[in-house]
Amino acid sequence: MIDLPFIYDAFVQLCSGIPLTLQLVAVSVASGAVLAIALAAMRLSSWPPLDLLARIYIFIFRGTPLLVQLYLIYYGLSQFPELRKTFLWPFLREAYWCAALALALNTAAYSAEIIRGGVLSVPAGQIEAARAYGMGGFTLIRRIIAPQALRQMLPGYSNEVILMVKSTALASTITMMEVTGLAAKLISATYRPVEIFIAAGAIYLLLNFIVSRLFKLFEYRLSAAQRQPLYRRAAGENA
Amino acid sequence: MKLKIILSAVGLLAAAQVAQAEDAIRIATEGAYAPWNFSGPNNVLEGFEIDLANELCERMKAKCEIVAQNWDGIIPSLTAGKYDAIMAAMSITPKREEVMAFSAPYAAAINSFAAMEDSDLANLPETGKPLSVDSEAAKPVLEEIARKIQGKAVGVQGSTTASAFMEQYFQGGADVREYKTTEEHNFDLASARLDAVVANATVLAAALEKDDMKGAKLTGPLFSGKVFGMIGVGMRKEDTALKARFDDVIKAAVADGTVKKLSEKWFKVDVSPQE
Amino acid sequence: MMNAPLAPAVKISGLEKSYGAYKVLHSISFSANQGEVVSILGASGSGKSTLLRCINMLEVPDAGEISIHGESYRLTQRSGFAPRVADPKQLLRLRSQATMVFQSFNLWSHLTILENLIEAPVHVQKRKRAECVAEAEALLERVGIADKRDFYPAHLSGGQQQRAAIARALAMRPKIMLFDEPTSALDPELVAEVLKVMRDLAAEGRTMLVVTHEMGFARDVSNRVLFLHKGLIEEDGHPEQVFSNPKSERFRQFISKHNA
Repeated sequence: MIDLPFIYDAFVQLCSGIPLTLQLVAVSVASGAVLAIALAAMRLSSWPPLDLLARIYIFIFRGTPLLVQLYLIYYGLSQFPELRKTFLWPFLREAYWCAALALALNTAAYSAEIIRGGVLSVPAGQIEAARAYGMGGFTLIRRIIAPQALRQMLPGYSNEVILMVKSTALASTITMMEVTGLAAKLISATYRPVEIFIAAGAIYLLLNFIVSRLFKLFEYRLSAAQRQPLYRRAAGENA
Repeated sequence: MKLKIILSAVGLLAAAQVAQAEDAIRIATEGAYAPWNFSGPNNVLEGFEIDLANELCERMKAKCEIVAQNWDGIIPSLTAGKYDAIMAAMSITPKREEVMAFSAPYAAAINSFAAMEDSDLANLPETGKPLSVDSEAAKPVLEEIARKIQGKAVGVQGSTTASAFMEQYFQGGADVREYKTTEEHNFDLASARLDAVVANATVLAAALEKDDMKGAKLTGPLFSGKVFGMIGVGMRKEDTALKARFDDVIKAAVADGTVKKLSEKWFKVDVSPQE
Repeated sequence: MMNAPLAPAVKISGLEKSYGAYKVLHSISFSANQGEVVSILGASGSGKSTLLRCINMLEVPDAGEISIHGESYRLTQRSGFAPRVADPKQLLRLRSQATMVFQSFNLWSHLTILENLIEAPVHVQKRKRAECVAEAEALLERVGIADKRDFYPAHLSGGQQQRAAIARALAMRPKIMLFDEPTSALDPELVAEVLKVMRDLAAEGRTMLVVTHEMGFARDVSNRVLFLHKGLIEEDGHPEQVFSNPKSERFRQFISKHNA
């Protein structure tokens, strides 16, 4: 019933969509992270208007479907002829940048809350100790807060990146020929959606397997403080 | 005693329903391809194919139910048994015939480019003239068009004969982008993301009358030919009896001018198939 | 020697601090000389911790002046706002001179013990790493946890953590050490090892300000005792004198309650 050679064939063909899928993930996760840091800083700031602004942003982007955001950015913004005369149009004209923008804005909202949670998890006493020892501003963030917050937020953030890999599939609705876009095209040529979606699913599974392995590895490296005594003591005894 | 009567009455009713269901033909259409098929006010399906389907069903003395289905999944859902027939401006192509059967054609497919009036593509050769892409005369015209659309962004609806046409005749020349619906590519034509679109000429002509497509026009010849094919009712291969019933009533409706009448009502031109 | 023209190690005058409507410190003034070990006693809520935290500006006072070895903290205040530290560079310099040991250790949990010790010397004082490591190793030796050099804080006992925290404070080469109830979070059997380290430091002649509930330490190790009550200094003198002959009735009650 299931035609394995055909699935394999489809898999190989769909692989040519992986670079675009990965590019969309990389561009949107990277720029989304920058925005997320800014949003988290606003959420953590002691000035209420900044906090409120970030809250509203997060409320909107977490509360609406990504597909809706994508359509509003792609079809909605092009409604304004004035926009087509600005420097933004060369970017917004392209489906690629619209997809990257929508994905980045969306992930920024989720990531901001993950970052904020990570920062809040750093014990207040340790931050106070750092201040008492003359650290402040960027040194405090870089040396004390960031390493601990990063370790804390990593599991949540790896989930977010996995969701992003899957979300890129929506870019196919605005003509992007990434893995899902290619799958749709292939289906229209063969009318065999089941086999082709199995192949597409396998590709996403593979990509996300790699993503989650990378994060696990990273997590392992950052969790020395939890793991340590058994590990090093055992090594010491053997030496 | 009373209960027994009620129960048997229910049983009779159920049996009648089953009998009726057996004779009911479920027909899928896209519902987003005006004026062939579209959902009008109150979400009621309307269009050339809706009228035609009702006409054909009446002639078959069958009870029909017309449902809307996304173009994407319209063939897989047929094979999966979600409905029995497709009337969605679907061209009869050899590739489709590998997976499904078609009735005798009830319309010819005519396709055209559309572009904005102020664009380079507004004046493609042979604008408005019928041209079979299979004819000798088509060659120089297609070559000239290929030169003009080189590197231009051209939108088509995915999985259509329009996309097959672009692939077959302008491979590697234009930047062809696939959309889910013709409405979406029209939108991007109006917003200058696309330099041109290719679609069924009747559909484009209807869309161009709308306000948001102001400034867009049909350009180049009215294409017909093997790649566009004729339009027929799509069915599962095994449903040969149903195919025979459709064939009979379609041939009759074409012969007695009913199709022509409906075509002129909806398209203002006659698209009924000429053998 | 007592007549040497040296500024006092810590000089506080007219110090006031409120939290909202609640006044924690009422115009506190005192000074501690170099080499003095001052125990600051008082019931909880008496303001003793706040006093200590003001000395390295973890709390910014509402009014008054604090100087470390003759250098006063420069504060600034916009009308309607709380005072702020005016000069971050000076703050950094003075904080390195008066380092704090906390009740709950507050070691940085993502760094090993050695890394904890060299963190501020390398990244705040910008001293050479190799030099800081050598010094840190010597300090760990001194507080008796040289073998825990590469361990993370979570895997040390409370007593070991507090000794590491004291070593961390020493690694800054401070002129004054501030202890905020350093044994209060420890299990009773671990208190002694920390007190021993503090005793050794006192014997070296370091200037130490110790907020504590350890009457034994106050009586035997320190050479001056301050007793705070409701934000005021009620008793100030040599331990022998204040313990045997307290002027304040409240201090009398306080020591009898603590079996001292």
